[in-house]
Amino acid sequence: MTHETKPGRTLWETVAPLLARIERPSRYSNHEFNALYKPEASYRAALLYPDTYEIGQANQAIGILYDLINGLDDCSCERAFLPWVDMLALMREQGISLFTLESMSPVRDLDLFGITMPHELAVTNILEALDLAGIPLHADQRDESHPLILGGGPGAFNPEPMAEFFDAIAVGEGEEVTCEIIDVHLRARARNASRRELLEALAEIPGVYVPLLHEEGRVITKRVIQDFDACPVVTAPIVPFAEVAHDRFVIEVLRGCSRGCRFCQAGMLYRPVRERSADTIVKAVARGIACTGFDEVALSSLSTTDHSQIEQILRRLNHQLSGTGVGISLPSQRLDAFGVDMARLVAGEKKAGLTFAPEAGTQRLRDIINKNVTEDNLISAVQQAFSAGWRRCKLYFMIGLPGETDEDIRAIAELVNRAYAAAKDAVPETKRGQVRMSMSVAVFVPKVTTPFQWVGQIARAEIERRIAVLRGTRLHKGIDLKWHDPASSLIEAALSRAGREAAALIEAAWRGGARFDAWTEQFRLAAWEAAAQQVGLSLNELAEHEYAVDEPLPWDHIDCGVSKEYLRAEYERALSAVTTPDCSFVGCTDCGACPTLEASVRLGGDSRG
Amino acid sequence: MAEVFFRLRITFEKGGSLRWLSHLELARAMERLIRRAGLPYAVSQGFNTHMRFAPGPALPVGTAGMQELFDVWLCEYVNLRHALESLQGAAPRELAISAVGYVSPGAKGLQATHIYERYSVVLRAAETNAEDMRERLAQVVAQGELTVRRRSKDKTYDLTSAVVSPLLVEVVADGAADGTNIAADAADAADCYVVTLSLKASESGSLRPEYLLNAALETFELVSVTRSALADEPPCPSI
Repeated sequence: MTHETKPGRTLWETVAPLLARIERPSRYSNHEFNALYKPEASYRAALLYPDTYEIGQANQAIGILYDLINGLDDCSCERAFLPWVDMLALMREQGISLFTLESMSPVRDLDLFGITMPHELAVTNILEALDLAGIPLHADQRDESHPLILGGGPGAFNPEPMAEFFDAIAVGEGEEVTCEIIDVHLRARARNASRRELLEALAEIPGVYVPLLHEEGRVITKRVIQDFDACPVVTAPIVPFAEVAHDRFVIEVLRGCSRGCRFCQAGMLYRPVRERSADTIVKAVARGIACTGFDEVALSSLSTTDHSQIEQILRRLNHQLSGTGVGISLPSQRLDAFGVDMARLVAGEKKAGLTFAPEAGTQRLRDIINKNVTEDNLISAVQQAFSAGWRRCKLYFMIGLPGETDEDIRAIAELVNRAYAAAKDAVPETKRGQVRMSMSVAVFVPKVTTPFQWVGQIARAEIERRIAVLRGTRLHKGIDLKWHDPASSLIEAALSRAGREAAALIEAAWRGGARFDAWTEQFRLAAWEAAAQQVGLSLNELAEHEYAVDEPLPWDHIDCGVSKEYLRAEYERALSAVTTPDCSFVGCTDCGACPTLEASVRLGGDSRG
Repeated sequence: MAEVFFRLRITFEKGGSLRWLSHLELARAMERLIRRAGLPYAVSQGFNTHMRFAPGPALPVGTAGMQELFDVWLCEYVNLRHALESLQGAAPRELAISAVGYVSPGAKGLQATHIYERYSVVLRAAETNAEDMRERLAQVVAQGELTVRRRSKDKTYDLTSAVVSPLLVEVVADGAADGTNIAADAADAADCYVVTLSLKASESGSLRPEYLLNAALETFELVSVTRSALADEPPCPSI
């Protein structure tokens, strides 16, 4: 099996000497607490997050599916990550193929290889992983000897750029469909089915897209878990040794967000809102801390402070964890007084920093994007936070939003200046020197299944000009301005709404050396530009492409539940700066998700608000 | 009334693939396993409350340890057998807990007291023998100082104070030395040796056994470095 190792040596003995020559060797150590070993299983799966260990190990979906698959009879699930460039080079040099952490088995020897499709800047890493595993990149080049290559995650909602590299793609929430896929695979194996027969059987499963067999007109509707509260919480997740992103016990307190920000893909993809009840959450946290030993618990979701029982949950957790040194964190803050109140409940003496996302500088533009917050909301949240003891605050903005004018850009600076002044006023005079405010500005990337899916990204030169407008404004000295790299936003925009023609571009970019595109120090725009030229595409044209609202879209065959009519109506409301409320607060706004998905909004308590 | 604390000293082994943990990663892993074990650990007061613990002297990334030490303060007395079993049940594979005991809560820190380190180094080298290797190492030690270049900085170690035992060199056959599985490689003509020595840690930076080997031998393949014991007094001179 491990024919690339020297005779008499296990793969570990071949890998171990390499560890002295690379950074962060603990990325490749296995035997973390709660890792599962089922060497006797006859069906073996590997799940890969296409980035390094410390990024991928934080991924919640992998953690859920890992637990689930290992819970199936006679099935095992192991993890794989992409080795960092130093280890990659050594593995290539020594002919070591991509292996799983748990048993150090070559991935290509397994039955199922599941790969997360997280975002556009990870696509080249997916090709790198397949190639390092010794698996043909293209689905039509694989045979019965290769594992089934299964995709899933946010990237499944516009699968075409990556479609030819996957045998099957699961659209939507994976808890149920993954088990159905394995069941179909096991049955196909039992009857010695060909790969083609296997793919045919998989295409029958609701929510599974099989690109090789796709027929015009067929629509794949995303899968959802109807009763999220009944869905088991992973209370014994893997406890990493290496320091990873989000190194803490994470409980997903609710799924979905229907605030309806028009630029936000997650807000459309994960509808409807379904909460776990306070009792479920409080019990699971006690168990989770006992099983992991983490010193922090994060209440995760797209909008945690919107949970109908959030105050009760935080008070009960505070009581339960008091005196243990275990902290609670709220990853996202709602931009109002209530959000700050909730943050205060968990902060104790430790008030590290708060993050708010006003996204735009004027009320008109915030109405266009349906970010239902006002300047007063921001100023009073800042006042309250800084008088309660916080000294640092980070504000997120976007430029290049549809309908943006220079006035909107200058208004960002004015808004931040006012927030900074409010922060200083709220702090005792002797402590004003500690006040820090940072603003982070990203370039808007239009995403599929949002009301802005038809809109192109603004041209590169125009982005530079608008950045210059913001730079030309006067900011208080205490405000720190940070940028996201417009060059990597260009790649995101070029791929986010592209069709199958982008596959050749991605492959050429990867062959030209592009990988770890999400890592600033590794990102190479030149590799992408050369690839585009080679395949006869233009990155700028792809990114700036404007779709007509009545023309077919490359992702029309994927249905996230929210109807195209609703998105179009939302786009029109955006153009006239009319806002739409959140259905989980005020009742149905007819997005279509509940009837299409046969699901409904489910709250832990009686109501939100 | 002042709170009463019980300082539990944990002896454990850092081996296998976990030898690649950094000092910080190891401390975090120990903290988490103590929490999982359900021991009544004390929590520091103040701004950023956390478990009260103190790790022993740091091991470099890649170096294994057979008798590593870690102190944690408890706010209740726990029967030692119960403490040991709870910790063992909560430990990851390859981080085996071997013993626990109480020490005086006010005693000096491990990093100040346990400065004598026993090492065994496994290496492969061709065109030498145990006698030759011992001689070469002795010559290096006899020079009294050793200058090592690390990250483009020179650092000079005082060998007269750092090397506190005679150097032992033994040839080992295939198989286990210090728990490392050294696979016999038919094609490999080099012999396998174990070098054993005791070093004294210093606040200004501790000598690593590899530095002596680098100075003494032209070519060799380092198989493993293991700190086999930590002590608060120098080794018995008769060894």
